[in-house]
Amino acid sequence: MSVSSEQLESLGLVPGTVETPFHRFAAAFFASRLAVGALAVLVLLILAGLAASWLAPQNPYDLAKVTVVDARLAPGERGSAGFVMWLGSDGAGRDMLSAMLYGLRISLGVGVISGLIAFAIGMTIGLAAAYLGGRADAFIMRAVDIQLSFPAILVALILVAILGRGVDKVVIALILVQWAYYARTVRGSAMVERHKEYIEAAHCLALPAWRIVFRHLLPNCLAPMIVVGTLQTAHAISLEATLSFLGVGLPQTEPSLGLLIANGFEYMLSGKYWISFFPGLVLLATIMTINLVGDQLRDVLNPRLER
Amino acid sequence: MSVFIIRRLIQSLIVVLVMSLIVFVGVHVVGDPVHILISDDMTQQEVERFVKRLGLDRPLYEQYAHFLGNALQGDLGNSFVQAEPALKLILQRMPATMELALVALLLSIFLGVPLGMYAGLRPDSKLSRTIMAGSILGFSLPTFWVGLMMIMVFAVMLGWLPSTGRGETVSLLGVQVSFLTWDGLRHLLLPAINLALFKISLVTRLARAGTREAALQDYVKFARAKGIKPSRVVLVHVMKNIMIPVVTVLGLEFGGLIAFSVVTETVFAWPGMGKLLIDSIQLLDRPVVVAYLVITVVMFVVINLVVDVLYSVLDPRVRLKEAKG
Amino acid sequence: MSSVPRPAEAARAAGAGEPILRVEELRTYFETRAGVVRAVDGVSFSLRPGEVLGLVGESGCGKTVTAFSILGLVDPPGRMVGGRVLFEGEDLAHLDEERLRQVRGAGIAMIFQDPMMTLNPVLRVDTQMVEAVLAHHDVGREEALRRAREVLTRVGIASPDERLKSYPHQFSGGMRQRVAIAIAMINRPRLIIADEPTTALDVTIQAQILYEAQKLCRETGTALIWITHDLTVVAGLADRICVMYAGRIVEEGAVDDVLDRPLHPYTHGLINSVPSRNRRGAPLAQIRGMTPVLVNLPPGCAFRARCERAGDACLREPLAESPLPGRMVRCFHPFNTGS
Repeated sequence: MSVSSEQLESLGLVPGTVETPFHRFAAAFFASRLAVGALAVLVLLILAGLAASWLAPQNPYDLAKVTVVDARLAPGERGSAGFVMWLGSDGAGRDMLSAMLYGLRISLGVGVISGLIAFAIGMTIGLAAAYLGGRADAFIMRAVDIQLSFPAILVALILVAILGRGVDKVVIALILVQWAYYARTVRGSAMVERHKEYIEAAHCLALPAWRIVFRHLLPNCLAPMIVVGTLQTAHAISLEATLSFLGVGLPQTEPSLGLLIANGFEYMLSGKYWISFFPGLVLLATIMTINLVGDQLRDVLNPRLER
Repeated sequence: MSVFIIRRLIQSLIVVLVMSLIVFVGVHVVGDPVHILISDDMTQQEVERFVKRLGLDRPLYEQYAHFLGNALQGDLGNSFVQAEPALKLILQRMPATMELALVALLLSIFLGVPLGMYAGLRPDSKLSRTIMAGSILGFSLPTFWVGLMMIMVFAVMLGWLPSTGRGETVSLLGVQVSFLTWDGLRHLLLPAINLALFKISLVTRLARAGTREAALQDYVKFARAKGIKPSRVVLVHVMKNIMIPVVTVLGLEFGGLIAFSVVTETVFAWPGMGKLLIDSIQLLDRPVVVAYLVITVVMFVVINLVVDVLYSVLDPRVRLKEAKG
Repeated sequence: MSSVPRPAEAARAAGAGEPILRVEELRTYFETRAGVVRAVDGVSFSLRPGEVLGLVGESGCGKTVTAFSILGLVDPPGRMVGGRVLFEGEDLAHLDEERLRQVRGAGIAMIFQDPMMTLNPVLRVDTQMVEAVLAHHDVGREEALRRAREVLTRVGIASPDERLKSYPHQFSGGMRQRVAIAIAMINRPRLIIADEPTTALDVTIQAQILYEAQKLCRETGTALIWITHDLTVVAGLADRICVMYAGRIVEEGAVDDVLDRPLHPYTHGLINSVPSRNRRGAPLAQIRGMTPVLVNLPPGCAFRARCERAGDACLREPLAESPLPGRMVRCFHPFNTGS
């Protein structure tokens, strides 16, 4: 006996617009003005970094264009090439704004690439551990736990001491630092999902293991992974900057924002703050906007504390 | 409970061994310190003798076995650069790092927990929102940059505090500490706050999440239904429950503080282990690097062990589970 | 299921005198993203000293929220928006927080549903019992412990000293609930509100706890509100019964009267849907339809959609009527009125 629409109405259920999960998600996300603002700034920063070669008034790494005559100009002064250095120049005469745009590109690039690769590796290992279960799982999670019990900076320093300097080595070190977070997160969700009935049903259909893992298990574990992904990317960018600042990160030929800040270290005591200040501000903005977006994502995707 | 401890001890030992192997092998595979340390006018014979004296010509496993044997006797090799035992160099500088890390830890507890608890109990107040926004700022700020800015503002522009170095020290229980002197405190303030900033944010967020979760639990409502005073409900019922995750995280984070002091020490020229490490990495002074990493790993393992034991003391449920085996 | 024998006269004699609790038009609403949930929508009843009242209804009908509203323990987004709760002359709904705190645990005590969750897992049992005493009486810790021991023995816990030094998770479910009852009784309250205290326990323990709760209340003259969704529990335990549906009380009366001659179609449906040996082999009766979602309820009788006797009159909100002495019902077409 079907339920009539009057009965439905009397029960308070009004058939109307269908909300897709994405609509609900987007609505919840955009409810926070702070997160929306952060996202907007982040997008601007990414675009600025990508378009560095076009936006920068000067290519700071073209040795022909840079001259020490312009060194340590205060913000707003005009350089010898004729354009105004809005953010001043550094010890070698490079326009800060240009250096920062290029540096932003490198910082973002290294952070994001290492993050993506670590995501892929960590996800695969974590899913494998959850799916295989038993001793394989115990072994893998042991390794993950041990690595995670050491602070990231220590692991990074060990890796850098072993691998040496160079862009590729720094990327590798960052990947090796981060994979464990992804592995643990995905394994956690996968373990919960694994015991649910739809996976059992997939088993009964004799689907091949890789299919069950990637087409059925994975999509349901993605939400926490995305949150971890954003927060880890911010962490990776910060870590790379720290390593570069300490002099054990990216080499001078690929100066990220961290290195720019390091370059300004020696001028600080004489009051030429801008050489370290502005790159730091951009670094802070990048990290903070990513964290704000990630924070809101976490609140939205985790219904547990919803009132 | 002793079974638990013994099991953890054995696990810890294995971890230490494995890590020391990784570190040793890794560091010896990269770079060639010989080239930095010899001067151009040394004859081939002198070079050979030099190499032999430092044991650099032996196969790797032999070098490691030698290293391990010596390590167990407390000898972690001599610094290539300073001709002093690596262990001694590190131990000399350990008190400075420890002092910094401990003060930072205390700051994070005494600032982070109350702020977090307030934010958790009144999540919608303006102050709470400010606290939470501040905490995101706190852990987004790159520590080294903040350090620079702090020096900039407080030392260069305002001239209130010294910019670098450690202050006057006095001997406490045989160890040199600086927090007991006014001058020492003045030097300690900026670096400690700098190091603690990240942790304070972390602890605040943790305390807030824990408080919010605890406040919604039935046992809190039940306590109120019994007519318990609100202050007791918060300070006894809620706090005891959140102290467990807070203590656990802090224990692990203390290790992080020690490791991260590398950055603060570099910025403030604080004479601790971290600065020694960075310098040694750049100078390819392998024994010191290896010694630092091994010591830090051992410290970590000990800290984790202590935290595990502490956790089982604080949370009676864990004790029972372990007893049942 | 055993119960303490009560001759009919004793049953009617219990609960003589002025009501100790009078709830008048209590309303508690929850403001959620989906709309306003009228969890308690005009609930009124009263309770005399020593009386046992059964508050019966399905999950989600508002019984627990009613209990919390009486004690002022409703958390946001819920809010008590109207009505009075007169306890021994004072209106709890409009008391200041400190005075209300003094009533909680001393004048009125509450037993929650899930014993696992109501005792704080990281504090010892003696701590949790002693604090209940010290919050209301200016006595020393020794005296508080003595009272704790005494009340634990009364609820049937042997070797109370050992139990006092233990942590909640070291007890079984039934034991924990006995401790919760002991805590409720420790300050000799005039009223105990028990919110489905046996639902989370298995049947044999359930019977024991019911028996003991009943015995204790008879012995001490404590009034009891027993909240449950299980009619059979209420049958042997309560003097009077209130049936709740969608935030309103739809029927009220002496327990035997209501169960023998239910007036409201919902009560009628509830009683019929209890599986009984008398009808073995026959299909189970059920109330058609589903428990209503309390958000944005349509006007009129909330039971309208599921009622076989519903008509046009039911589009208006039924008022409380008294077609038989000692009975109340909110319905335009009640059963068994004999008219």
